Amino acid sequence: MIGARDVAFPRLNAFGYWLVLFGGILLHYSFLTGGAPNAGWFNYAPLSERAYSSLSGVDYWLLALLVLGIGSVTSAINLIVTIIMCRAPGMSLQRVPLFVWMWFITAFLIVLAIPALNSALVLLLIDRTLGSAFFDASRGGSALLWQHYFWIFGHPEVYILALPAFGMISEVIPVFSRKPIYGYELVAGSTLAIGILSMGVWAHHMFAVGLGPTYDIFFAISSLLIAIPTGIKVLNWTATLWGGSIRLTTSMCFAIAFLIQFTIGGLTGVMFAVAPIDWQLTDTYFVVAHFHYVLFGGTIFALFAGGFYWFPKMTGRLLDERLGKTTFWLMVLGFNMTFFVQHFLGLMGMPRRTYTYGDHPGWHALNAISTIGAFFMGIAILVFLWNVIRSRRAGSLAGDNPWDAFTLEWATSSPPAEQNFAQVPPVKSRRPVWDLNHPELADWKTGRTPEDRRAPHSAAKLASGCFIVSEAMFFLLLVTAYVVFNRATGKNASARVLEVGRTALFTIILLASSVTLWRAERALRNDDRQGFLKRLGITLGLGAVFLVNQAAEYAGLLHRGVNISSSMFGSTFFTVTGFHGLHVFAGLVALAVLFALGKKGRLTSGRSDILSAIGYYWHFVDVVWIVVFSVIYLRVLA
Amino acid sequence: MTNLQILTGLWYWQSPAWWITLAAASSYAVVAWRRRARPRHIAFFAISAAAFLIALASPLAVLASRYLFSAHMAQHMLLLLIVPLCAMLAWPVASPAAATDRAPIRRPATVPLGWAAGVGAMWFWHIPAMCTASMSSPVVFGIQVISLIAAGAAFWWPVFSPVAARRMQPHLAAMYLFAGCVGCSLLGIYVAFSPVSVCPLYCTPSGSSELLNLVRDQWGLTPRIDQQVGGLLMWVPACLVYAGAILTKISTWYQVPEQNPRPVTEL
Repeated sequence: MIGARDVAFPRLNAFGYWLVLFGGILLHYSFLTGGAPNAGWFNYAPLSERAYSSLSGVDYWLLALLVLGIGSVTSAINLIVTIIMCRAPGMSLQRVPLFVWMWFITAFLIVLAIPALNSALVLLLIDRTLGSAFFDASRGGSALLWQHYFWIFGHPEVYILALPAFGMISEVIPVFSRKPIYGYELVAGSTLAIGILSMGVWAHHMFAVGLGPTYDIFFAISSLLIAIPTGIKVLNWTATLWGGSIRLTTSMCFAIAFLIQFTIGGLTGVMFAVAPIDWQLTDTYFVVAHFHYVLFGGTIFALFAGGFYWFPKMTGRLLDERLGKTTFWLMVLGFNMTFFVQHFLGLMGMPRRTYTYGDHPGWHALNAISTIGAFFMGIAILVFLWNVIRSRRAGSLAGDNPWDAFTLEWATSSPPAEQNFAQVPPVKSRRPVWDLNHPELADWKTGRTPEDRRAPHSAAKLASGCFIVSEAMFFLLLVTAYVVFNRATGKNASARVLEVGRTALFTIILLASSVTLWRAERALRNDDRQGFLKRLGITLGLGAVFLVNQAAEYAGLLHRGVNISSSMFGSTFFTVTGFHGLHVFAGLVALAVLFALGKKGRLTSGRSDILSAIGYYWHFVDVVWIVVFSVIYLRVLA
Repeated sequence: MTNLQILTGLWYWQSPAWWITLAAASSYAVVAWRRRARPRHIAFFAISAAAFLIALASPLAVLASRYLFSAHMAQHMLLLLIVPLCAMLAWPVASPAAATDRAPIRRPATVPLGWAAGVGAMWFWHIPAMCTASMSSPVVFGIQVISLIAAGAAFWWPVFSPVAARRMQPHLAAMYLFAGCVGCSLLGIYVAFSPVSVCPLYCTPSGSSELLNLVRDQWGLTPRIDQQVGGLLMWVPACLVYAGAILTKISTWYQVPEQNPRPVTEL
């Protein structure tokens, strides 16, 4: 869609794919071990602790989610770099298709949100395997901390699911209305607003845990604010339909159903942002109805719209419209039968997450409607699968651009060739393919959009920067855990056992390694190979000295009975410094690889950006250490 | 004492803030007249001046002086975020040429310095010792006010400087502001959840008992809740200011530059 031949890092792309696949397999493997993860999707502590979930299901869940999370972050970084670096000439960021823009924002959300989950996962994993008590209130931990960390990830995650769907709708509706999208800038800008707001409203999932009215008020207001950018989007999509010559293809039908159903889900969402309504309705079927209207009536319907729209581009053949319409009507009917009545069930107080329900007046009939609706949806899926199988083999040929669509992917053959494009058409507006096919009505003749003025970037450095942002989030939450658990008690505990003076010395050694690495970069740029190798060697040595000292410090502490399960100080101290040590080690390995490459003469000044990218990471690890040293050893916050 | 009495009676009429505002308004009138300021500029100046007075001479200032930590936080936010920002937006540029007629700066130190000043000032003045000092000594309080406004100006300068050549590109400005939002959120979160008082003086009752009774009993702002409100103010509404600025910047990013502009500053 941006006229790229491939993603910025094809190998990383494959790596991310395999991680996701094996992460998924790992998750499902837990079934074979006899202990499925059964602590709920948000895995609240203390239910997920060893004491209440003693089988290995939760461990598999934790490990699998870590693997999946790493896969997602690599893909997100790849997407960000691809969208910044690989756009066709003329395709300014202000002209990219909205689907691309929304993925761009989503990728940033992934980079920022997934590490929050990862940090919660490793803490719980340490609880379960090494006997610490981060989330065990009876031993000084905090079960609420799990909820905070989970929802710091969990709320942006909702938008990670929803924004790409919004993007699909933003492509489908204009094409089948034969109009450019109404208010492109507003749709794009409101996406950014949603992205920013979504990072700061997580506590509205926790109205019912008793944070107190102060928190509830602020989070209720900020949550209500999200309705504004979302409402802007719905209005813009509707305005795009207005006055268009609408073609009711299956794809378009799904998009229109999306609009209506998503709006219903959005409205119940606004209700939940009001804390007293949340107290009344939380954990009832009203919640189930709400999020299915958002995620099923919204996201899944958008996926169908996008699926019918892009299937011909992927395979070269159109999906059958008659079967498609059957799927659509079965789905709309089934979906609304299943979930609309659940609003009423929820209001009547039917609790969610129980396998059965009480024998109260009306509940039976409403539940029966739900069940019948679910069967309709099942049939709809079967019809859809049959449609895919049949059309794949014998569907009518699509040609390059069956919908007379607007964006670059329709300029190439269906399915696209290996390198996507033999020649990328000129991009002078937001609808390059429309301009190409209808030169007399070309967009750039009537309205101007900002020209493409990109600054040169290095893909490696950009990726390194994104990775650092993600890592920073991870460490931020680990250090936060340290502060939370050591604010009152940590002073004495850390003062007794830590040797600040010695660690200060080794802090200076670690910081010196940043300086030598910076000098090594300069030497490499100036083609001074000997100087480069010498300085990189010193950097490696300094990093190793730091690690040796850390190992010695650990040995001393363990000798004195301070270990990861002995106290909250021990747990947090070993977790934070241990993860930092691991990062130093990873940095050393990366630098050692570069050293070996340099020795063979394969690292030249032309490829110095790779060293710089690793250098960014190394400097970042040092900055983290400064924070860790200030918080743990100098106790600036505790 | 009723709420209405607070709103009408508790103004610092002797505060130097009035004189400063008067002086600023008269000098601004001259500039505005010479440079033909638009109504938009004058409105921003009015907001800036009003925010300055609310922060330093209104009942908010009285409450902030010894009664409520949250009022103290609101005062800081007005001084750091609103006053310098609106003053900057109020400044009319002499001629359109001045907006672009400077040589583009190659490595603007204003960016990291501005960021560090804006975020650092907020953190610095909430170290318990500094907070106590600013409440007990008028001199330190004066330094605090000046440093907050100056730091705010430094923070906003690369984003909304009246001279276009001094501004970052909009998408970089968006990242700059987002990072600022993160910095202030962290402080807000720390303050809101900290069981230790950030400004201990607000926990020890002093001043008019009538007013204390009102805020503690009628408004229900115990020291604990008061600090939560303060932290949340720093966390949520402050970030909304940054978010609003980001959206403003992005909307200019989507505008097509006018014909034949000079090359935009590359950072």
